[in-house]
Amino acid sequence: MLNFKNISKNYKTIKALKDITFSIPENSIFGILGANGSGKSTFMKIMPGLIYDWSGEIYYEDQLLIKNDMILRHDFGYLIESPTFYEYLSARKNLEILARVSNVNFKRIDYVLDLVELSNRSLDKVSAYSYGMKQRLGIAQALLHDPKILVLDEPNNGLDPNGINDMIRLIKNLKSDGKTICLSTHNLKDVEELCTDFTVFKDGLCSNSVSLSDQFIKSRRWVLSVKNPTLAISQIKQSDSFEYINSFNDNILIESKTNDTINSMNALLQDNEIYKISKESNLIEYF
Amino acid sequence: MINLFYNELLKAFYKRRTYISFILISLLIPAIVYAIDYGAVSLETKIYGQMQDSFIFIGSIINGYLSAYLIIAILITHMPFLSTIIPSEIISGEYSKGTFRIYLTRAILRRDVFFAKVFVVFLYTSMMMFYFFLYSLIISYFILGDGELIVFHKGILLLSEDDIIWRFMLGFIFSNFVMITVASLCLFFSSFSKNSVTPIISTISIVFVGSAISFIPIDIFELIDPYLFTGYIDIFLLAFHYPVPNEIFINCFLVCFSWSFLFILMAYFNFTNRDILE
Repeated sequence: MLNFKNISKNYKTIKALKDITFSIPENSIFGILGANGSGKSTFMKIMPGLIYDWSGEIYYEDQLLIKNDMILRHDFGYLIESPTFYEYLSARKNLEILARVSNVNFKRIDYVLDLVELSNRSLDKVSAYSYGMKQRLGIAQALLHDPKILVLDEPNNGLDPNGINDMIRLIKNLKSDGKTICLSTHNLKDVEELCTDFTVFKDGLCSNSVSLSDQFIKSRRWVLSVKNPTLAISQIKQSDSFEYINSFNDNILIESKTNDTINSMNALLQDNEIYKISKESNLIEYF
Repeated sequence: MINLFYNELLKAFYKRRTYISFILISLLIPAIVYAIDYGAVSLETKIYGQMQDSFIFIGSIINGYLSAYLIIAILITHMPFLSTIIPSEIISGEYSKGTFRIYLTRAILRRDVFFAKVFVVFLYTSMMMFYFFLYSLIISYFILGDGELIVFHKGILLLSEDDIIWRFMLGFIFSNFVMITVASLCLFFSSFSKNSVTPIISTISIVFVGSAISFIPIDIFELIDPYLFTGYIDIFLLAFHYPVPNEIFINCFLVCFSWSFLFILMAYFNFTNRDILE
Protein backbone atom coordinates (compact mmCIF):
# COMPACT_ATOMS: atom_id res chain seq x y z
CA MET A 1 0.00 0.00 0.00
CA LEU A 2 2.76 2.40 0.97
CA ASN A 3 6.36 2.04 -0.21
CA PHE A 4 9.33 4.11 0.78
CA LYS A 5 12.42 4.04 -1.39
CA ASN A 6 15.81 5.47 -0.51
CA ILE A 7 14.50 8.12 1.88
CA SER A 8 17.44 10.20 3.11
CA LYS A 9 17.70 13.28 5.29
CA ASN A 10 20.80 15.17 6.38
CA TYR A 11 21.08 17.73 9.15
CA LYS A 12 24.19 19.65 8.12
CA THR A 13 26.90 17.02 8.71
CA ILE A 14 24.65 14.43 10.37
CA LYS A 15 22.98 11.80 8.22
CA ALA A 16 19.72 11.23 10.07
CA LEU A 17 18.24 8.85 7.48
CA LYS A 18 20.27 6.77 5.05
CA ASP A 19 18.36 5.28 2.12
CA ILE A 20 15.39 4.09 4.13
CA THR A 21 13.46 1.51 2.08
CA PHE A 22 10.50 -0.54 3.28
CA SER A 23 6.80 -1.18 2.62
CA ILE A 24 3.68 -0.90 4.75
CA PRO A 25 0.95 -3.46 3.89
CA GLU A 26 -2.71 -2.41 3.78
CA ASN A 27 -4.77 -2.77 6.98
CA SER A 28 -1.68 -3.57 9.02
CA ILE A 29 -0.48 -2.14 12.28
CA PHE A 30 3.03 -1.36 11.19
CA GLY A 31 5.64 -0.68 13.84
CA ILE A 32 8.75 1.38 13.31
CA LEU A 33 10.96 0.14 16.08
CA GLY A 34 14.13 1.88 17.11
CA ALA A 35 16.11 3.31 19.97
CA ASN A 36 16.04 7.03 20.74
CA GLY A 37 17.96 8.93 18.07
CA SER A 38 17.61 6.17 15.48
CA GLY A 39 15.78 8.46 13.03
CA LYS A 40 12.17 7.39 13.69
CA SER A 41 10.82 10.86 14.43
CA THR A 42 12.68 12.43 11.53
CA PHE A 43 11.10 9.84 9.24
CA MET A 44 7.65 10.45 10.72
CA LYS A 45 7.97 14.19 10.05
CA ILE A 46 8.79 13.68 6.38
CA MET A 47 5.39 12.23 5.50
CA PRO A 48 3.23 15.20 6.61
CA GLY A 49 5.68 17.73 5.16
CA LEU A 50 6.97 19.03 8.47
CA ILE A 51 10.44 18.35 7.07
CA TYR A 52 10.88 19.85 3.63
CA ASP A 53 14.39 19.05 2.59
CA TRP A 54 14.74 15.30 2.02
CA SER A 55 15.38 12.92 -0.84
CA GLY A 56 13.84 9.64 -1.96
CA GLU A 57 10.52 8.38 -3.28
CA ILE A 58 7.19 7.58 -1.69
CA TYR A 59 4.71 5.33 -3.53
CA TYR A 60 1.12 5.27 -2.32
CA GLU A 61 -1.19 2.69 -3.91
CA ASP A 62 1.48 2.20 -6.62
CA GLN A 63 1.50 5.90 -7.47
CA LEU A 64 4.68 7.93 -7.09
CA LEU A 65 3.93 10.95 -4.97
CA ILE A 66 5.62 14.27 -5.52
CA LYS A 67 7.47 15.79 -2.60
CA ASN A 68 5.10 17.01 0.10
CA ASP A 69 2.13 15.77 -1.92
CA MET A 70 -1.25 16.81 -0.53
CA ILE A 71 -2.40 13.17 -0.71
CA LEU A 72 0.00 12.56 2.15
CA ARG A 73 -2.20 14.84 4.23
CA HIS A 74 -5.61 14.13 2.69
CA ASP A 75 -5.46 10.38 3.17
CA PHE A 76 -3.24 10.35 6.22
CA GLY A 77 -3.83 11.38 9.82
CA TYR A 78 -0.89 12.27 12.01
CA LEU A 79 0.03 12.42 15.65
CA ILE A 80 3.66 13.48 15.64
CA GLU A 81 5.57 13.29 18.94
CA SER A 82 3.77 14.52 22.05
CA PRO A 83 0.23 15.85 21.55
CA THR A 84 0.23 19.64 21.29
CA PHE A 85 -2.87 21.79 21.21
CA TYR A 86 -3.94 25.37 21.73
CA GLU A 87 -4.07 24.99 25.50
CA TYR A 88 -6.14 28.13 26.06
CA LEU A 89 -8.96 26.65 23.95
CA SER A 90 -11.31 23.78 24.72
CA ALA A 91 -10.85 20.38 23.09
CA ARG A 92 -13.89 21.04 20.93
CA LYS A 93 -12.60 24.46 19.81
CA ASN A 94 -9.26 22.85 18.94
CA LEU A 95 -11.00 20.27 16.81
CA GLU A 96 -13.21 22.96 15.24
CA ILE A 97 -10.08 24.82 14.13
CA LEU A 98 -8.72 21.65 12.52
CA ALA A 99 -12.09 20.64 11.06
CA ARG A 100 -12.43 24.05 9.44
CA VAL A 101 -9.15 23.73 7.53
CA SER A 102 -9.88 20.11 6.59
CA ASN A 103 -13.40 20.98 5.37
CA VAL A 104 -14.87 18.47 7.78
CA ASN A 105 -18.44 18.71 9.01
CA PHE A 106 -18.52 19.65 12.70
CA LYS A 107 -20.74 16.62 13.40
CA ARG A 108 -17.66 14.48 12.88
CA ILE A 109 -16.14 16.17 15.97
CA ASP A 110 -18.77 14.51 18.20
CA TYR A 111 -18.00 11.15 16.59
CA VAL A 112 -14.23 11.29 17.14
CA LEU A 113 -14.62 12.67 20.66
CA ASP A 114 -16.94 9.76 21.41
CA LEU A 115 -14.44 7.35 19.91
CA VAL A 116 -11.68 8.47 22.25
CA GLU A 117 -14.10 8.81 25.18
CA LEU A 118 -13.64 12.54 25.68
CA SER A 119 -17.18 13.71 24.93
CA ASN A 120 -17.94 14.60 28.54
CA ARG A 121 -14.80 16.78 28.82
CA SER A 122 -14.94 18.34 25.37
CA LEU A 123 -15.73 21.84 26.65
CA ASP A 124 -12.84 21.88 29.14
CA LYS A 125 -9.72 23.78 28.21
CA VAL A 126 -6.95 21.48 26.99
CA SER A 127 -4.65 22.95 29.67
CA ALA A 128 -6.78 21.08 32.23
CA TYR A 129 -6.25 17.72 30.49
CA SER A 130 -3.95 14.96 31.72
CA TYR A 131 -1.27 13.69 29.37
CA GLY A 132 -3.30 10.58 28.59
CA MET A 133 -6.35 12.69 27.67
CA LYS A 134 -4.20 14.87 25.42
CA GLN A 135 -2.86 11.75 23.75
CA ARG A 136 -6.41 10.54 23.11
CA LEU A 137 -7.35 13.97 21.81
CA GLY A 138 -4.31 13.66 19.56
CA ILE A 139 -5.79 10.47 18.11
CA ALA A 140 -9.14 12.25 17.72
CA GLN A 141 -7.61 15.08 15.69
CA ALA A 142 -5.73 12.57 13.54
CA LEU A 143 -9.01 10.77 12.80
CA LEU A 144 -11.00 13.95 12.19
CA HIS A 145 -10.88 13.84 8.39
CA ASP A 146 -11.36 10.06 8.33
CA PRO A 147 -7.92 9.18 6.91
CA LYS A 148 -7.07 5.81 5.44
CA ILE A 149 -3.70 5.69 7.14
CA LEU A 150 -2.92 6.78 10.66
CA VAL A 151 0.65 7.74 11.53
CA LEU A 152 1.31 7.74 15.26
CA ASP A 153 4.66 8.73 16.71
CA GLU A 154 5.21 6.93 20.02
CA PRO A 155 1.50 6.79 20.94
CA ASN A 156 2.12 5.06 24.28
CA ASN A 157 4.88 7.39 25.37
CA GLY A 158 4.23 8.91 28.79
CA LEU A 159 1.01 6.99 29.41
CA ASP A 160 0.23 5.11 32.62
CA PRO A 161 -0.72 1.39 32.38
CA ASN A 162 -4.44 2.20 32.08
CA GLY A 163 -3.69 4.75 29.39
CA ILE A 164 -1.56 2.21 27.51
CA ASN A 165 -4.37 -0.35 27.67
CA ASP A 166 -6.87 2.23 26.37
CA MET A 167 -4.52 3.18 23.57
CA ILE A 168 -3.88 -0.44 22.56
CA ARG A 169 -7.62 -1.12 22.51
CA LEU A 170 -8.24 2.02 20.46
CA ILE A 171 -5.55 1.20 17.89
CA LYS A 172 -6.82 -2.38 17.50
CA ASN A 173 -10.37 -1.06 17.01
CA LEU A 174 -9.12 1.29 14.32
CA LYS A 175 -7.50 -1.62 12.52
CA SER A 176 -10.80 -3.49 12.74
CA ASP A 177 -12.43 -0.47 11.10
CA GLY A 178 -10.12 -0.96 8.13
CA LYS A 179 -7.49 1.64 8.87
CA THR A 180 -3.81 1.09 8.26
CA ILE A 181 -1.74 2.25 11.20
CA CYS A 182 1.92 3.12 11.20
CA LEU A 183 3.38 3.73 14.62
CA SER A 184 6.85 4.36 15.89
CA THR A 185 8.08 3.12 19.22
CA HIS A 186 11.21 2.28 21.12
CA ASN A 187 9.30 -0.25 23.19
CA LEU A 188 9.49 -3.93 22.16
CA LYS A 189 6.35 -4.68 24.14
CA ASP A 190 4.35 -2.21 21.98
CA VAL A 191 5.39 -4.06 18.85
CA GLU A 192 4.69 -7.48 20.34
CA GLU A 193 1.24 -6.51 21.61
CA LEU A 194 0.08 -4.33 18.75
CA CYS A 195 1.87 -4.74 15.48
CA THR A 196 1.30 -7.09 12.61
CA ASP A 197 4.48 -5.99 10.81
CA PHE A 198 7.49 -3.96 11.69
CA THR A 199 10.81 -2.57 10.63
CA VAL A 200 13.72 -1.59 12.80
CA PHE A 201 15.57 1.71 12.58
CA LYS A 202 19.15 1.90 13.75
CA ASP A 203 21.54 4.81 13.20
CA GLY A 204 19.45 6.11 10.31
CA LEU A 205 19.27 2.72 8.57
CA CYS A 206 16.35 0.31 8.56
CA SER A 207 15.69 -3.40 8.13
CA ASN A 208 13.22 -4.79 5.62
CA SER A 209 9.59 -5.08 6.66
CA VAL A 210 9.07 -8.13 8.82
CA SER A 211 5.78 -9.82 9.60
CA LEU A 212 5.53 -10.30 13.34
CA SER A 213 3.80 -13.66 12.98
CA ASP A 214 6.59 -14.93 10.66
CA GLN A 215 9.17 -13.59 13.01
CA PHE A 216 7.39 -15.23 15.96
CA ILE A 217 7.25 -18.60 14.19
CA LYS A 218 10.96 -18.38 13.45
CA SER A 219 11.85 -17.45 16.99
CA ARG A 220 13.56 -20.17 19.01
CA ARG A 221 13.30 -18.36 22.32
CA TRP A 222 11.15 -19.68 25.11
CA VAL A 223 10.38 -18.59 28.63
CA LEU A 224 9.94 -21.13 31.43
CA SER A 225 8.49 -20.78 34.87
CA VAL A 226 9.22 -23.73 37.17
CA LYS A 227 9.01 -24.69 40.84
CA ASN A 228 12.77 -25.05 41.28
CA PRO A 229 14.57 -22.64 38.93
CA THR A 230 18.08 -23.44 40.21
CA LEU A 231 17.69 -27.14 39.41
CA ALA A 232 16.13 -26.35 36.03
CA ILE A 233 18.99 -24.02 35.06
CA SER A 234 21.61 -26.66 35.84
CA GLN A 235 19.66 -29.28 33.86
CA ILE A 236 19.27 -26.92 30.89
CA LYS A 237 22.98 -26.09 30.93
CA GLN A 238 23.81 -29.80 30.68
CA SER A 239 21.34 -30.39 27.84
CA ASP A 240 22.31 -30.40 24.16
CA SER A 241 18.79 -29.44 23.08
CA PHE A 242 18.62 -26.10 24.92
CA GLU A 243 20.82 -23.13 25.57
CA TYR A 244 20.41 -21.12 28.74
CA ILE A 245 20.30 -17.35 28.08
CA ASN A 246 19.33 -15.74 31.39
CA SER A 247 16.74 -15.72 34.16
CA PHE A 248 14.62 -13.04 35.78
CA ASN A 249 12.01 -13.23 38.56
CA ASP A 250 12.03 -17.04 38.49
CA ASN A 251 11.50 -16.96 34.73
CA ILE A 252 14.16 -18.67 32.64
CA LEU A 253 14.89 -17.54 29.10
CA ILE A 254 16.25 -20.27 26.85
CA GLU A 255 16.96 -20.91 23.21
CA SER A 256 15.71 -24.17 21.81
CA LYS A 257 17.72 -26.21 19.31
CA THR A 258 14.98 -28.76 18.76
CA ASN A 259 11.74 -28.58 16.80
CA ASP A 260 9.80 -30.37 19.53
CA THR A 261 10.53 -27.96 22.32
CA ILE A 262 7.59 -28.65 24.61
CA ASN A 263 7.98 -32.45 24.74
CA SER A 264 11.76 -32.20 25.02
CA MET A 265 11.42 -29.71 27.85
CA ASN A 266 8.87 -31.88 29.68
CA ALA A 267 11.24 -34.82 29.36
CA LEU A 268 14.23 -32.82 30.58
CA LEU A 269 12.46 -31.29 33.56
CA GLN A 270 10.34 -34.28 34.56
CA ASP A 271 11.53 -33.99 38.20
CA ASN A 272 10.58 -30.31 38.30
CA GLU A 273 7.11 -28.83 38.25
CA ILE A 274 6.61 -26.65 35.15
CA TYR A 275 4.17 -23.78 35.75
CA LYS A 276 4.42 -22.13 32.36
CA ILE A 277 6.22 -22.53 29.06
CA SER A 278 5.73 -19.93 26.34
CA LYS A 279 7.40 -18.80 23.16
CA GLU A 280 9.15 -15.46 23.23
CA SER A 281 9.79 -13.16 20.29
CA ASN A 282 13.40 -12.30 19.59
CA LEU A 283 12.83 -8.64 18.71
CA ILE A 284 15.66 -7.62 20.98
CA GLU A 285 18.06 -9.16 18.47
CA TYR A 286 17.01 -6.55 15.94
CA PHE A 287 18.42 -3.74 18.06
CA MET B 1 -8.24 30.85 2.82
CA ILE B 2 -11.18 32.42 4.64
CA ASN B 3 -11.23 29.43 6.99
CA LEU B 4 -7.53 29.89 7.70
CA PHE B 5 -8.02 33.59 8.33
CA TYR B 6 -10.96 32.86 10.63
CA ASN B 7 -8.83 30.36 12.54
CA GLU B 8 -6.01 32.86 12.98
CA LEU B 9 -8.48 35.46 14.23
CA LEU B 10 -9.93 32.94 16.65
CA LYS B 11 -6.49 32.01 17.95
CA ALA B 12 -5.51 35.66 18.40
CA PHE B 13 -8.71 36.82 20.05
CA TYR B 14 -8.83 33.95 22.54
CA LYS B 15 -5.42 34.95 23.88
CA ARG B 16 -5.21 37.35 26.80
CA ARG B 17 -2.10 39.09 25.49
CA THR B 18 -4.10 40.36 22.54
CA TYR B 19 -5.93 42.72 24.87
CA ILE B 20 -2.89 44.10 26.69
CA SER B 21 -2.46 47.04 24.33
CA PHE B 22 -6.18 47.88 24.35
CA ILE B 23 -6.31 47.74 28.16
CA LEU B 24 -3.19 49.91 28.46
CA ILE B 25 -4.58 52.50 26.07
CA SER B 26 -7.97 52.41 27.80
CA LEU B 27 -6.42 53.08 31.21
CA LEU B 28 -3.64 55.46 30.27
CA ILE B 29 -5.47 57.96 28.08
CA PRO B 30 -8.25 58.98 30.53
CA ALA B 31 -5.58 59.35 33.21
CA ILE B 32 -3.55 61.70 30.97
CA VAL B 33 -6.63 63.68 29.93
CA TYR B 34 -7.65 64.16 33.55
CA ALA B 35 -4.09 65.19 34.36
CA ILE B 36 -4.20 67.76 31.54
CA ASP B 37 -7.54 69.02 32.83
CA TYR B 38 -6.21 69.24 36.36
CA GLY B 39 -3.00 71.00 35.36
CA ALA B 40 -4.53 73.17 32.66
CA VAL B 41 -3.35 76.46 34.11
CA SER B 42 0.28 75.47 34.44
CA LEU B 43 0.20 73.80 31.03
CA GLU B 44 -1.19 76.96 29.45
CA THR B 45 1.50 79.04 31.09
CA LYS B 46 4.17 76.74 29.69
CA ILE B 47 2.65 76.79 26.21
CA TYR B 48 2.20 80.56 26.17
CA GLY B 49 5.67 81.18 27.53
CA GLN B 50 6.96 84.53 26.47
CA MET B 51 4.19 84.90 23.90
CA GLN B 52 2.01 86.41 26.59
CA ASP B 53 4.10 89.56 26.15
CA SER B 54 3.13 89.78 22.46
CA PHE B 55 -0.38 88.30 22.35
CA ILE B 56 -3.53 88.62 24.32
CA PHE B 57 -5.20 85.24 24.76
CA ILE B 58 -8.89 85.21 25.52
CA GLY B 59 -10.29 81.99 26.94
CA SER B 60 -8.37 78.73 27.21
CA ILE B 61 -6.38 76.94 24.53
CA ILE B 62 -6.71 73.68 26.47
CA ASN B 63 -9.42 71.63 24.79
CA GLY B 64 -10.08 68.07 23.59
CA TYR B 65 -8.22 68.48 20.33
CA LEU B 66 -5.07 69.82 21.95
CA SER B 67 -5.26 67.08 24.55
CA ALA B 68 -5.61 64.35 21.86
CA TYR B 69 -2.81 65.97 19.84
CA LEU B 70 -0.46 65.98 22.82
CA ILE B 71 -1.37 62.46 23.91
CA ILE B 72 -0.86 60.99 20.44
CA ALA B 73 2.36 62.96 19.88
CA ILE B 74 3.79 61.67 23.15
CA LEU B 75 2.56 58.07 23.05
CA ILE B 76 3.10 57.39 19.35
CA THR B 77 6.80 56.74 19.97
CA HIS B 78 5.81 53.92 22.33
CA MET B 79 3.34 52.30 19.96
CA PRO B 80 6.02 50.16 18.22
CA PHE B 81 6.27 48.18 21.44
CA LEU B 82 2.53 47.46 21.49
CA SER B 83 2.65 46.66 17.77
CA THR B 84 4.93 43.70 18.49
CA ILE B 85 2.61 41.89 20.89
CA ILE B 86 0.77 39.77 18.33
CA PRO B 87 3.36 39.37 15.54
CA SER B 88 6.08 38.41 18.02
CA GLU B 89 4.43 35.11 18.80
CA ILE B 90 2.09 34.44 15.89
CA ILE B 91 4.68 32.14 14.29
CA SER B 92 7.30 31.58 16.98
CA GLY B 93 4.61 30.81 19.58
CA GLU B 94 3.16 28.00 17.49
CA TYR B 95 6.64 26.78 16.71
CA SER B 96 7.73 26.68 20.35
CA LYS B 97 4.48 25.16 21.65
CA GLY B 98 4.51 22.55 18.89
CA THR B 99 1.01 23.34 17.61
CA PHE B 100 2.35 23.45 14.04
CA ARG B 101 2.76 19.68 14.39
CA ILE B 102 -1.01 19.29 14.31
CA TYR B 103 -1.93 22.35 12.25
CA LEU B 104 0.52 21.98 9.38
CA THR B 105 -0.15 18.25 8.97
CA ARG B 106 -3.58 19.11 7.53
CA ALA B 107 -4.13 19.40 3.79
CA ILE B 108 -3.30 23.11 3.67
CA LEU B 109 -0.50 25.08 2.09
CA ARG B 110 1.99 26.77 4.34
CA ARG B 111 1.75 29.76 2.00
CA ASP B 112 -1.93 30.18 2.87
CA VAL B 113 -1.30 29.78 6.58
CA PHE B 114 1.41 32.42 6.37
CA PHE B 115 -0.74 34.97 4.57
CA ALA B 116 -3.63 34.38 6.97
CA LYS B 117 -1.22 35.22 9.78
CA VAL B 118 0.07 38.31 7.99
CA PHE B 119 -3.48 39.50 7.47
CA VAL B 120 -4.29 39.08 11.16
CA VAL B 121 -1.15 40.98 12.14
CA PHE B 122 -2.06 43.87 9.84
CA LEU B 123 -5.64 43.86 11.06
CA TYR B 124 -4.62 43.82 14.71
CA THR B 125 -2.10 46.63 14.25
CA SER B 126 -4.63 48.76 12.36
CA MET B 127 -7.35 48.11 14.93
CA MET B 128 -5.02 49.02 17.77
CA MET B 129 -3.90 52.23 16.09
CA PHE B 130 -7.45 53.16 15.18
CA TYR B 131 -8.55 52.57 18.75
CA PHE B 132 -5.62 54.64 20.03
CA PHE B 133 -6.49 57.64 17.84
CA LEU B 134 -10.26 57.40 18.21
CA TYR B 135 -10.20 56.79 21.94
CA SER B 136 -7.77 59.70 22.50
CA LEU B 137 -10.09 61.99 20.57
CA ILE B 138 -13.32 60.80 22.15
CA ILE B 139 -12.10 60.83 25.73
CA SER B 140 -10.39 64.20 25.28
CA TYR B 141 -13.47 65.65 23.61
CA PHE B 142 -15.85 64.48 26.32
CA ILE B 143 -13.66 65.66 29.18
CA LEU B 144 -12.23 68.89 27.74
CA GLY B 145 -14.67 69.83 24.99
CA ASP B 146 -13.86 71.22 21.58
CA GLY B 147 -12.25 74.39 20.26
CA GLU B 148 -9.47 75.53 18.00
CA LEU B 149 -6.19 73.66 18.00
CA ILE B 150 -3.01 75.56 18.60
CA VAL B 151 0.20 73.89 17.39
CA PHE B 152 3.73 75.11 16.85
CA HIS B 153 5.04 75.01 13.33
CA LYS B 154 7.18 77.88 12.12
CA GLY B 155 5.58 79.89 14.88
CA ILE B 156 2.05 79.52 16.14
CA LEU B 157 -0.47 77.73 13.96
CA LEU B 158 -4.10 78.06 14.91
CA LEU B 159 -6.28 75.44 13.27
CA SER B 160 -10.03 75.94 13.15
CA GLU B 161 -12.35 73.12 14.26
CA ASP B 162 -13.29 72.11 10.73
CA ASP B 163 -9.60 71.86 9.82
CA ILE B 164 -8.68 69.38 12.55
CA ILE B 165 -10.39 66.00 12.12
CA TRP B 166 -9.01 65.26 8.64
CA ARG B 167 -5.53 65.98 9.98
CA PHE B 168 -6.04 63.41 12.71
CA MET B 169 -7.21 60.96 10.03
CA LEU B 170 -4.18 61.69 7.88
CA GLY B 171 -1.93 61.25 10.91
CA PHE B 172 -3.64 57.96 11.72
CA ILE B 173 -3.29 56.55 8.19
CA PHE B 174 0.44 57.24 7.92
CA SER B 175 1.25 56.36 11.52
CA ASN B 176 -0.53 53.09 10.81
CA PHE B 177 1.74 52.46 7.81
CA VAL B 178 4.75 52.88 10.07
CA MET B 179 3.34 50.57 12.74
CA ILE B 180 2.49 47.94 10.14
CA THR B 181 6.13 48.09 9.06
CA VAL B 182 7.21 47.59 12.66
CA ALA B 183 4.78 44.66 12.94
CA SER B 184 6.17 43.20 9.69
CA LEU B 185 9.69 43.44 11.06
CA CYS B 186 8.55 41.63 14.20
CA LEU B 187 6.81 38.97 12.11
CA PHE B 188 10.05 38.48 10.22
CA PHE B 189 11.90 37.83 13.48
CA SER B 190 9.04 35.62 14.65
CA SER B 191 9.49 33.39 11.60
CA PHE B 192 13.07 32.70 12.69
CA SER B 193 12.67 32.59 16.43
CA LYS B 194 11.73 29.76 18.75
CA ASN B 195 10.26 32.05 21.41
CA SER B 196 8.17 35.22 21.46
CA VAL B 197 10.57 37.38 23.48
CA THR B 198 13.40 37.47 20.95
CA PRO B 199 11.27 39.08 18.19
CA ILE B 200 10.11 41.82 20.57
CA ILE B 201 13.64 42.60 21.76
CA SER B 202 15.07 42.50 18.24
CA THR B 203 12.34 44.73 16.82
CA ILE B 204 12.48 47.30 19.60
CA SER B 205 16.28 47.37 19.38
CA ILE B 206 16.09 48.18 15.67
CA VAL B 207 13.43 50.85 16.26
CA PHE B 208 15.62 52.29 19.00
CA VAL B 209 18.71 52.42 16.77
CA GLY B 210 16.68 53.83 13.87
CA SER B 211 15.20 56.51 16.11
CA ALA B 212 18.67 57.41 17.35
CA ILE B 213 19.78 57.86 13.74
CA SER B 214 16.84 60.20 13.18
CA PHE B 215 17.62 62.33 16.21
CA ILE B 216 21.41 62.60 15.96
CA PRO B 217 22.27 65.47 13.58
CA ILE B 218 25.21 63.89 11.75
CA ASP B 219 25.52 64.21 7.95
CA ILE B 220 25.64 60.49 7.23
CA PHE B 221 22.63 59.85 9.46
CA GLU B 222 20.66 62.67 7.86
CA LEU B 223 21.47 61.14 4.48
CA ILE B 224 20.09 57.70 5.28
CA ASP B 225 17.26 58.75 7.61
CA PRO B 226 14.64 59.36 4.86
CA TYR B 227 15.07 55.72 3.78
CA LEU B 228 14.48 54.29 7.25
CA PHE B 229 10.92 53.64 8.38
CA THR B 230 11.93 54.57 11.91
CA GLY B 231 12.38 58.16 10.76
CA TYR B 232 8.60 58.36 10.24
CA ILE B 233 7.39 57.15 13.62
CA ASP B 234 6.33 60.70 14.54
CA ILE B 235 4.90 61.52 11.10
CA PHE B 236 1.61 62.23 12.85
CA LEU B 237 2.99 65.66 13.79
CA LEU B 238 3.48 66.58 10.12
CA ALA B 239 -0.26 66.24 9.49
CA PHE B 240 -0.67 69.43 11.56
CA HIS B 241 1.78 71.47 9.52
CA TYR B 242 0.66 74.12 7.10
CA PRO B 243 0.87 73.36 4.29
CA VAL B 244 0.94 69.60 4.75
CA PRO B 245 4.30 68.32 3.37
CA ASN B 246 2.89 65.92 0.78
CA GLU B 247 6.27 64.75 -0.48
CA ILE B 248 7.23 63.52 3.00
CA PHE B 249 3.97 61.57 3.26
CA ILE B 250 4.58 60.01 -0.15
CA ASN B 251 8.13 59.11 0.93
CA CYS B 252 6.77 57.64 4.12
CA PHE B 253 4.36 55.43 2.19
CA LEU B 254 7.04 54.25 -0.25
CA VAL B 255 9.61 53.59 2.44
CA CYS B 256 7.14 51.73 4.70
CA PHE B 257 5.75 49.74 1.81
CA SER B 258 9.24 48.74 0.62
CA TRP B 259 10.44 47.69 4.07
CA SER B 260 7.20 45.83 4.86
CA PHE B 261 7.37 44.01 1.53
CA LEU B 262 10.97 43.00 2.20
CA PHE B 263 10.25 41.80 5.75
CA ILE B 264 7.18 39.83 4.69
CA LEU B 265 9.01 38.30 1.74
CA MET B 266 11.91 37.13 3.89
CA ALA B 267 9.53 35.81 6.55
CA TYR B 268 7.57 33.99 3.85
CA PHE B 269 10.60 32.20 2.46
CA ASN B 270 11.77 31.27 5.90
CA PHE B 271 8.38 30.02 7.07
CA THR B 272 7.56 28.01 3.97
CA ASN B 273 10.94 26.29 3.83
CA ARG B 274 11.54 25.75 7.50
CA ASP B 275 11.67 22.23 8.92
CA ILE B 276 9.33 21.83 11.89
CA LEU B 277 11.58 19.80 14.13
CA GLU B 278 10.64 20.73 17.68
